[in-house]
Order: sequence, then C-alpha cells, then structure tokens
Amino acid sequence: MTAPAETTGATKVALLLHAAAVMRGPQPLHPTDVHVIRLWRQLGAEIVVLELLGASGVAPRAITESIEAGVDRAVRVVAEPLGAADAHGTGLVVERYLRTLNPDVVAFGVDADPDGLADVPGVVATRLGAAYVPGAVEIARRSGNEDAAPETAAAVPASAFEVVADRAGVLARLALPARAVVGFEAESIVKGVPPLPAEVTPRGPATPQAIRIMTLYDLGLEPTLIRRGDDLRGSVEAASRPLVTTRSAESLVTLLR
Amino acid sequence: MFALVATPPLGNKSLVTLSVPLAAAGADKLLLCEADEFGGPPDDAVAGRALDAAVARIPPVLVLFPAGGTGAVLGPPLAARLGAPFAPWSDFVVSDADGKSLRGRGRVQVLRLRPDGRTRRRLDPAQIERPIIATVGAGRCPPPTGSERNLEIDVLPMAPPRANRPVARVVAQAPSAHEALPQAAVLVLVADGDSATSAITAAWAERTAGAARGATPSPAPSSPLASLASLAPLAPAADFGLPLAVAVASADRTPRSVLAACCPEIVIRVDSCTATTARSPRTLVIRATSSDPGGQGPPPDDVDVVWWFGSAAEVVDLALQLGARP
Repeated sequence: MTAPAETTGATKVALLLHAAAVMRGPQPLHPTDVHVIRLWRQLGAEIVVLELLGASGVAPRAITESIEAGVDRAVRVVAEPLGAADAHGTGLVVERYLRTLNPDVVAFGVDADPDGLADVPGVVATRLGAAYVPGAVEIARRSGNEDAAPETAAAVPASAFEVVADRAGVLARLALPARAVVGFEAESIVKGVPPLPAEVTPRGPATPQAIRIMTLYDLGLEPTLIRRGDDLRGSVEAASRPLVTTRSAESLVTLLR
Repeated sequence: MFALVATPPLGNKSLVTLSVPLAAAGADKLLLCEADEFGGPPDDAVAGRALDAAVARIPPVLVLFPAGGTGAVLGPPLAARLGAPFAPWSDFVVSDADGKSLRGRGRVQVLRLRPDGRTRRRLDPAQIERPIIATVGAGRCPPPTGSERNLEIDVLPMAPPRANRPVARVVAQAPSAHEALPQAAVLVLVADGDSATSAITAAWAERTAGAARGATPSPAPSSPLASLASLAPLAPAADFGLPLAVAVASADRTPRSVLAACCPEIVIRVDSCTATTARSPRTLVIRATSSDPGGQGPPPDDVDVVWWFGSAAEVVDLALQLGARP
C-alpha cells in the first residue's frame, strides 16, 4: 500500500544520510536512518535525503533504499574533494545545500556514521546558526501537546515540534526552534500520531527523477575550499586485543587493576 | 590542566565542595563561569558561552569532556567553532621520551577505537596544529594527586548572550531512570532470561543495602564496600564529588541509546547478554559465563576476557573490587 494522503509536506525535513559522513562506496541505508524516515512519515512531513559521496560511479544503494522507505526527494552530492575533506569542509557543502532547500528541521541518526563520529551535523548547525539537538528519543507536534495551554497551542506554527532528549542524566522536553539540527536515537518514537501500518512502502514509484545529482559547482563551491591535506580524523592503526580466558577472579582483579 | 565549570552562582561552601575533588584529581586551575542560565540541562546555545570564554582565556591543546553526556551535546559545536576535530570516546598515550626523540610528535596523543574494534585512530595535536575536542569514558577514580590549597580559581568574564540565538527551550525536565549508568566505570550487564540474573540482582541489592547501612562517608574510600557506600546512591556521591563507580543493569530493560552513551572502563556481560556499549581503547569487555566456555564456541569479536564464574556473589564481588579506588 502507499502512504496516507495527508503527507502534504507541511513540514520540510532534510535527513542527512549516514549522519552526513562522506561515503566512498555503496553503503546500505543505516537502520537508524530508516527509522528516522518512518518517524517523519508518521508526522506527515516532506522528506528530502542528502547523501555525500567522495567518489563517482558509486551505486545509489542507500538512496534507492531511502526512496523505497518513502522519502519524497533524494539528493547526492558527488565530488572527489569530499573524499579528502574534514568535518568542516563537509559541513560547508551541506550548509550550502540546506540554504537552497530551506528545511524546517534538519535530521540525522546519531549512530548512522559508519566511523562513529557524527561530527558534521554540529558543524552544519554552527554554520546555519541553528540549534543543535542530538539524542532525541521522542518527538511530538507542539500543537498536539496535551500539557500545553490551548491559547498557546493555537499560536504554535504547524512546523514546530517538541523532542525529548537525554541531557546528562536529565530527560528534557525541548521546544525546537526553526531549522534545528536534530539527532535521533535508534529507538526514538513519535507521540500523539497514529503509527504507520507495518507494510507501508513508497509513496509512489521510486522513479529516477526523484534522485538529483549535484556537484560542488552546482552549490557555488570551489574544490579547493573543500579539499584538505588532512581529514583530521587521525591515522588508522591496528588495535591489539588478545583474548584471555580464566576461571580465577583473583587473576582477573590482578590483570585489570 | 584546567578544569572548567559552568554553574549558577555559588556560595563559598559550594565552591569549596566543588573544588576539593577537582584539586584532588590534579587540576591546576579552576576556570569558573557563573550565570543563572547554567542551572539547566547542557545546551550549546547556553553553555557554549562558557566554553568560548574558557578557550579564549586559555587556548587549549586538548578539550576533554567527562563521561555523562555533556560531551555529545557540547563537543561537536565547540569543535565546529574552533575548526578542531571531534573525537568521541578517546584515550591517550603519553610519551616519556625526551624532546629530541619526539621529532615533532606530540607528547600526548589521542586514540579512538573505530567501530570495527580491530583498528583505531591516532591523532597527534602537534601534527595537526589545532586543538582536539574529545570525550572520555568513565574511568575508575585514581588516587588523589593534588591538594585544594594549590588550586587557583579564576572567575571568567563572559560575553553577554547573543541576541536572537535559536535555543531549544526546556519545556519540562525529569531525572532519567538510567542517569547512573553513563558514569559507571564498571558496568555489569545481565539478560532477563538467564538463571544467574536474579541471583546477581539479589547479591547486588544485598551488598548495596549492607554498605548503605554501615556507610560513613570518608574523603578517600579504599575498600570495595566503602567505595560502594559512597557511590551507590546519588546524594552521597555528591558528598565526595565522585561519579558512580559500579552499576548493574538489565540489558533488556535499558534503552539502546542509553547503553550507547555508556563508555565504561570495564564491561562485564553475563551469560547470554550480548548488549554493547560505546568503547574507548581502554575499555575491556569481560564475558562472564556460568558454564564451561569451551562448549560455547568462540566469543564475540569485542570480548577481551572470558571468565567462568562460580557464583553470582563472585560476579558482584569482582565488580566491586574492580570499581574500588586503587
């Protein structure tokens, strides 16, 4: 079946696939990204996904899967200099694209970066001058908040949301300002909206027209602004982790203290 | 080493309470940023002002965020403002070589385990010529190395809040049921269906209750039970200014996001529990099994030690011994 008809795109959401990490080969869509797409479909948003590629000729695996999961549009920025970019250069590319898209919310999966960093969304938020809200475990429309007074709820724009996020041992309910960069956890939920049927698949056929390829020149950027001699992620080396088997608690204490 | 604290305005007594553990941990100077707005949950739009004041006052080589969740919120935006790399769940190697043999390399280097667990990244502040923003895992409390008398306190002036800065306003807040876990240096994870789980839970409750009854807070707990007494409930932990050292949690009833925010020094996974936490290069994963590990096939890739335990009490006692201050 196709998605409900009320997906009118009242809220425009940009989802940064792989937490805006640059891919050099075909990557599957991360389960958290799938989950975030599902969350926003529940909320009836127009979803645009963005994937960054540091090499040409990479099969559009994640993009195709995201269209199958129900996004409205998909954009791939393909540029060889991105393969040698640090988080700041990558964030500049994302920011340029987002300024043309002008989304209400920028979303990412906090554990979707294959390298475990998820450092680009922070750069994007800083460059956009937007709020940075990682660790969201729950989202709801502010107008649907039962705790809100009716007169204030009426004044809330349709694109305003509240999220619950873990903040150093405190579960904080936060009112999202416009264009906030929000990181969603893998098991985040939507409150106040009926769940999607389990078998919902694309809103329409996954046509090639839904995918747009962009280059740095399309974004008005010179490759020299992006390319770096050092991507600031450090040199890779083997981590030696020998396996120890024991029955003695005393030897374990000696080993580990 | 400079300790930075962003806090609502403090009285003298509170300031002493705050500075004693920082001095004992070896801080040379306390950079204090006071404002009413710092009383809420960490948010870059609010606390970022204090961080900016601190890095302007003392241009750092390394900015470290402790375990507990502030680093994930404040670290990436600070790195963005400084043009610095962000390295979550890092560890360090400190070289004792003389200046000549270092040959342009930094004395302190930052290590980060990659998600595959078999490789790691090494960042050298001297080579990249910019600061590194890192979060560190929860570690066992080392012996005190400093004295409160030697701690300088520097109250930093801050720029006024930027007008029209978008802030995710706090509508409501409540303590998380899992707030102790990210600060546990030794984390015991059990699975609900295992026969050993109820025995471990009972042994843990017994030790906790026993220690809480007989506890007399002291500034430097040395025995496992004294350590537990001071660290188990939140209020006494605040008396010492120390994090919780040991925690037992059911992996089935703990959200995956909470476990992903935990980076303990030692993880003890009991029997069929396969839950994972964040790991730093220092993190050791113990697979504790109540049956012969020889008949169970090879352990998962991330396991460092396989331990065949005899009783549930042995697991709890081991965790307490490991969590005690050396």
